Amino acid sequence: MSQISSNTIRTHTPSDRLLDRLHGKASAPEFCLISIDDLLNNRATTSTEDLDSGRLNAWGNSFPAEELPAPGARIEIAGIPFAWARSHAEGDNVRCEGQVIEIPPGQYDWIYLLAASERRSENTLWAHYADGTADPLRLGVSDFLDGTPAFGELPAFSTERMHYPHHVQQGLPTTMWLSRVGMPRRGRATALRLPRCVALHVFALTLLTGIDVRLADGAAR
Amino acid sequence: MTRTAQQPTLWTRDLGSCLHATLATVLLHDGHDPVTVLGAPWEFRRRPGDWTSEEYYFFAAPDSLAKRLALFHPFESAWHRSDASAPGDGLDELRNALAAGVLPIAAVDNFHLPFRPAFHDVHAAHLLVVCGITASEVLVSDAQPPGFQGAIPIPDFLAAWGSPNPRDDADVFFSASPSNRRWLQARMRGPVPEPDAGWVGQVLRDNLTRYRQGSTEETQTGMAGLRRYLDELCALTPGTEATDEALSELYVISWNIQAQAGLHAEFLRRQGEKWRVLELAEAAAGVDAVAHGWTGVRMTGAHARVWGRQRFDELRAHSTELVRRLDIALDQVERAADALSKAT
Repeated sequence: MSQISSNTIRTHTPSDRLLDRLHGKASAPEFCLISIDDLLNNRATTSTEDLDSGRLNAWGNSFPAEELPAPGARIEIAGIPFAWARSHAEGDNVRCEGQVIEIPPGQYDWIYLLAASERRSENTLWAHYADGTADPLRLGVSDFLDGTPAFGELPAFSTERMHYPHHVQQGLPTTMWLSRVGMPRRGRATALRLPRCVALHVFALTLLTGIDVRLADGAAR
Repeated sequence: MTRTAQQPTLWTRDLGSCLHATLATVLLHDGHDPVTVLGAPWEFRRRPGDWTSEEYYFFAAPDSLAKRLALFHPFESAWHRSDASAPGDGLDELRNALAAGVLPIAAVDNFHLPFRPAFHDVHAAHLLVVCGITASEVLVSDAQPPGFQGAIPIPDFLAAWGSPNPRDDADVFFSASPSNRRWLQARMRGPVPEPDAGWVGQVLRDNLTRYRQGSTEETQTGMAGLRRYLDELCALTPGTEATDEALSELYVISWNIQAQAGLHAEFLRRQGEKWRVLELAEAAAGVDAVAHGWTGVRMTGAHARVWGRQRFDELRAHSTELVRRLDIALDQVERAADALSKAT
């Protein structure tokens, strides 16, 4: 049986990954904007010039790039800052295949993702800690086509059209979701492993540390 | 003009196909709740080799399509095939059905339908509801995204309805299945059961029984049948014609199996709210997890079939996870049935 190898990708160091740390005051949460640029492995957005490059699903559909942020843009969705990936011809998102993302060691409360799924998906995202612990965390992402938040997410982007390999379909909206995963463990997280599910696509990732954890960790009031 | 008295309601669900959507439209037209009727049954059934490349395929034999999808109601359906040489281009059969208060469900090819994204691009078998016919137009209702309700010229409808739906590389799942001017008549044939707590409890226990009883060689059913099917699937050699065929079958047959799981979860959630039994909501989450488990299996298979991403190790992992979730969900449903009987 021929199989594609499932090597773990570890090209970035944790410090490379940290695009920005938005401290704020101790009375506000801290955000770590994480780079996923080296992991981009799928085209889920296209322009009208390269419609047939889309691989968001088995039908070759894609998001209209003109309705989404520019590569590398800093954006904010529902109060959560993100760094939009620096897309290229080969990829603009991470199709989830169990990739490991080493993160700046720290205590985090929430993993925020801009994500889309081909049909609803519900899978395990692993959080790894400095003491060797690994926690399986549930990540649910709703269908990009329907617009129903099956997991109670907020829509991050809703487009007015959908791209097909040979045409632009007006009046067929798509949705990219603001998903989040809680990290209940009080420990120093060092890495995340994305789910192993080809239906799931991640476009940006930000880690949030809440006020109580920051204060407990010694942040000045 | 021959038409129904009211504009049908567009009804669809994210996990659903045109099969549940069209039957739901008919049910709503006749005053029935689709979630109660189509969401009550939950099962796995497959007869090896028995499938067609149509979005609306569901293994129903020996029952009718509507009966199998609505096991706890006297909902029945029958396929008809209209003769193109008959008066009125064969549309008179549909006119007669409409005049009798029936909403005919027509088998069509999306390639010929101006409102479908596949119009003049991709051939694909689909269902829509016919709600009226004038001298020049057919009024149709299609709830599946992008959703359309309106009139199309008769020549367009006839092209879609009579299409040979040839094999199309752009849709390896739903092409190569002629429309053949088929139409489905679905109607409730008797009194519907009162959806009281006793009925709901019996529905849950019947579903559990079907999932937990053994499977046969001829028809794979329940947990045992699902295990066997997934084992067979994961043992295939990637890249062969037989494997391509099996992966196409997987995508087709599991669409409406997944849709039924999603709808059954919605049914359980509603019952949980109605009877204030938290175990029903928890069972709904478990059944939803099964529906989501199908996504991993289906899409891993679909990407192998379409994009050549042959990851049978992932297919096996998703299959194992699906069975694990099903096992948990069955226990949750049993707990919910017990709680319901105690609470009411």
